[in-house]
Amino acid sequence: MFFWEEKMFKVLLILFLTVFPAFSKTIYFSEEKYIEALGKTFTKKGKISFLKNKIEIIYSHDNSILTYNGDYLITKKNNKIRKLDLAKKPSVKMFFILFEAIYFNKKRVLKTYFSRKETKGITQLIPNETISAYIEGVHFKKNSKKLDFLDIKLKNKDRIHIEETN
Amino acid sequence: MKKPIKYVNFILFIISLLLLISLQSYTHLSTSLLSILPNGEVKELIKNFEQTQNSKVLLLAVKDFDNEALKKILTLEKELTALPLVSKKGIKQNSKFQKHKEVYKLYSQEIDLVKLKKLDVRKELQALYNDMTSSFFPVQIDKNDPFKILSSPRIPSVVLKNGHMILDNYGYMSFFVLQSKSLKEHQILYRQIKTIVNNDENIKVFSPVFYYVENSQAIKSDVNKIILIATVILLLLYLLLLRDLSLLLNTITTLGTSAMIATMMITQLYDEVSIFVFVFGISISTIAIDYMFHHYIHDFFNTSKSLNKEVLFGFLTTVSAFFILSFTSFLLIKQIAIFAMVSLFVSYVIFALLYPKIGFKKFNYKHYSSSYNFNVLNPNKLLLLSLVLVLSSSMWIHFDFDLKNLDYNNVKLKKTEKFFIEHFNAHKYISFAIKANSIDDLIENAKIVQRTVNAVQLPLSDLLSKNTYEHNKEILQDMKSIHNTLVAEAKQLGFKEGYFDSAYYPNKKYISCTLDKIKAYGMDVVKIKDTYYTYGKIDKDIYEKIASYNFVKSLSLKEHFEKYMKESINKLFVLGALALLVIIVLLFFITKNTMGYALLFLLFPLSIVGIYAYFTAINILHIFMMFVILAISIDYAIYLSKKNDALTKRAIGYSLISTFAGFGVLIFSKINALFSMGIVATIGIVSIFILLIFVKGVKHES
Repeated sequence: MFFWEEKMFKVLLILFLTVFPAFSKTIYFSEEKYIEALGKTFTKKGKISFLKNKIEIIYSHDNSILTYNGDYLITKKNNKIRKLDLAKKPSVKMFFILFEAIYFNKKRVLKTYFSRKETKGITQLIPNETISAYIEGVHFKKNSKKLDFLDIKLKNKDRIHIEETN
Repeated sequence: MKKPIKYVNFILFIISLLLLISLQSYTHLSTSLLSILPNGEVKELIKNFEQTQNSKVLLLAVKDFDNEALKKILTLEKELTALPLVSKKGIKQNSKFQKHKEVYKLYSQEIDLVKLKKLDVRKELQALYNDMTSSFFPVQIDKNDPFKILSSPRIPSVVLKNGHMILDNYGYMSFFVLQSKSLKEHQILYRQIKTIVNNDENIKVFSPVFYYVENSQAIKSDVNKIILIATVILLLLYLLLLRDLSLLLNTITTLGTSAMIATMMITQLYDEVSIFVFVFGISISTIAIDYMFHHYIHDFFNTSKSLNKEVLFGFLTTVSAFFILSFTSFLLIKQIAIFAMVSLFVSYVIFALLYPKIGFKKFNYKHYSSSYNFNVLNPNKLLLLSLVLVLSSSMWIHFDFDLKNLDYNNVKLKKTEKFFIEHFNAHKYISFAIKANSIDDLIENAKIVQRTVNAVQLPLSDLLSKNTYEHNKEILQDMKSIHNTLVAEAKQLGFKEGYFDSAYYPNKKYISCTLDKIKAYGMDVVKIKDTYYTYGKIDKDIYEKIASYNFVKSLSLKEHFEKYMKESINKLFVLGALALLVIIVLLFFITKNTMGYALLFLLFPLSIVGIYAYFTAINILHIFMMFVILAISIDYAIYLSKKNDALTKRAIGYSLISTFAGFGVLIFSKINALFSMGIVATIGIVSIFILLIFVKGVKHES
C-alpha cells in the first residue's frame, strides 16, 4: 500500500469515526461509494465496535473483519487472515491511535487536517495542504446522537456517502 | 616645539579611528567559524547550506500523551509560529513537485525488472478490481503504474498520536525551522523562545542555534570576569609601580592605534576576517608594552639617547618569526601573523621614535638590596636539561584538533541534545552535499546515492534525468504488449474506457530540469561558479557508504577544520622550525658569546610546556600561545644577554606582570580555548620568572 493510500484511508476513517457519536459502543452504517475508474456506485453495510483494547470493523455483505489491537491490523476474510505489522506502517498505526482518541471525543484531531465551516446545520471541512492532494472536500450533518450523512469527495473523483443506520 | 608633539600620539589615534570608520573595516570581521577556513569550494558550500531551511531547526517536546500535553504543545506551536523568524516544519508536499512526479513517473523511477518478468496482467488487474469493489474505503490507483512496477518515492515515516507527531516513550513533539541568520538575530529569537517555553520541566526545547547564543553568553561573562581581573592587575602595575598617568594614557592610545592600523591592513587584504584574528592579534599587540617598559626604565624617553639597540633587535627578531609563520597555509595563523607584524611595527615606531620626542618623567628607580642570593642555577646545565626535555617531549606529545573541545562545555544543552538524539532512533545525522557540472548530472548523482543508501532523504532523486529517461524509455518500448493487454482486459472487467491509456505507454518527450524549476519544487540546489550542489542528510554511521563517491562532500565544519589542520600542521611545524632557526641565527649575531644564555629563554619555557604536554593533548591554541611566549622570550633573551642588570630585570618583571594580566589570567576561565591559552602563558611567564630569579647571570663583553 502506498503511503498516500494509507494516509487517505486513515483520514477517511478518522473522519468517519469522528462525526459518529462517541458514546456509542457499536455503530451500524451504510455506505455508497462511487468509483471513477469503474464509473459505478457500490453500496455496503457494516458495523464498528469499540471493545477493550481493540477496535473491530465488520462488513455485513462479506463478513470480513478488520481488527486493530495496538501493534497489528488483522484483516479476516473468507477464513484468510492478513496481519499487518504496524511498526512497519507507522501511518496506519497513527490512524488507529487517532481513532482511539476520537472515540473519546478528542475533536482537536480534526483541526490538524481541516478548517471548518458551518452552514444551516451542515458542516463543511476544507482539507489543509497536507491532505489536499487526495481529498477535495467533506460535508456532514449530525445531531447529538446520530450522523445524518457524511459526504467525502476525493481528488480522483471518487465519492463516498455514509449514513448511520442505528 | 615640544608642546604640539605631545598630542601627535592622540592625533594619530583619532586619524586611525576615522580611517577605520570610513573604511568600515570592522564590517569584515566575522564571528562565524567558517571564516577561519580558506576560501574555496567547501567554504562556499557550507556558507550556502547555512542559508537553507534545513540547517536551523528547533525541536520541541512536551512530556506525556494526555489531553493536557496535547493542548500544551498546540498552544506552544501557535505562540512559536507567531514569531517572525519561526515557521513550523510540516509534512506538506510541494504541488509542483507532486505534478512533476506524477507526469514523469514512468521515466524517473526505477523499474523493478524482477516484478515485471513475473507480471500476470489479467490476475493483477482482477485483484485490483476486487480490492476496489470490496474495500470499505476507496483504493487509490495509479493510472500510469497500476501494478506498482516502479519504485515508489521515499516518504519519511512519522509516528503520530492524536494527529500529532510524537517522540517514542516520551510525549508530543514538533519541528520548526528558524530563519535567524546573524548572532544578533539568534539572540533575539532565543530570548523570545525561552519566554514562551518558560522553565517547565515537562517541556524540552533544543536547537543547534542555542549553542551559539548560550556559549557566546557564557564566554562573554567569563571574559568579563577575566577582563576585570586583568584591569585590576594592570592598574596596580601602572599606578603603583610606574605612577605616571600621562604615560599610561599614551601607552593605551598607542596600543589602540596599532590595533586599528593592523585591523585596517588585514581587512584590506582579506574580505572576511575571523574575530579570533582580531582578538588574538590584539593580544599579541600587547607584547609591545614590553618595548615601552625597556625604553622607559632605561631612560630613553627623556634624554636624547640614540635607539635602544636591544629593543630594536628584539623587535626585528620577533617580527622575523611572525614573517616566517605568515607563509603557513593555515589561514587563522597566517592572518594573526600579519596582524601581529603590522601592530608590533606601529607600536615599535611610536615607542622608539615618538615617545622620546614627547618626553616623559624619568623612571623613579628604588633599589631594594637583599642579603639573599637566589642565582643558584647554572645556565649551561639548565640549557642542556631543557634541550633533553624538548627533544624527549616529541615521544609523548599528542594533538587534539577537535574544535568542540575548545568550546564552552555546555553540559545542560548537551544533555537536551542527547535526549533528542536518543529518542530519534539513537542516531546522529550529518549533512552532506552532492555536486555535478550540470543539473542533469546532479539528479543522476542523487539517484546513485539514493540507490546506494535507501534511507537517505534526497528528493532530487525523484526528478527526471536524461539517463534514466533513456533507460526507462527502452524498457517501456518492450512493454507495449503489457499496455495493450492491460487496456483490453480492463475494458472486459468493466473499467471505464480509456482509463489506462497512459499506463506503461511511452508518450512523453524528455524535458530537462532547470535551476528555477527545481527551486520551484521546493528543493535546495545552489550554483557556485559552474558547479551545482544539493544537500542531504544521512545517519552518521552509514555515511562511509557514500563518502567514497567523488561527487559527495561532507558539510561538517568540524571534519573540514580537522582535515585542514592536519594538512597544515606539518607545514606549520616546518615553518615553526625555520622561524626557530632564524631566531637562533639572529641570536648568535646579536648575543654572540652569551648565546647559550639567550637560548635558555627559548628552550626552558618550551621544555616546561613539553612536560605539560605529557598530561594533556595539545590543541591549536596551545600552539598559538607557544608562539606568543617564544616571541616575548626572544626579547627578554636579547635584553638580558646584552644587559643583565637590576633595571633590565625590573623592566622584564613589569612586562611579565602585564603579560600575565593580558594572557595569564585566562587560566581562570572555564572555557577550554581560553584556559589553553592561559595555561601556556602562565607556564611561560613562571618559567621566565624562574630564569630571572634563579639563574646565574652572564658576563658581558662591555
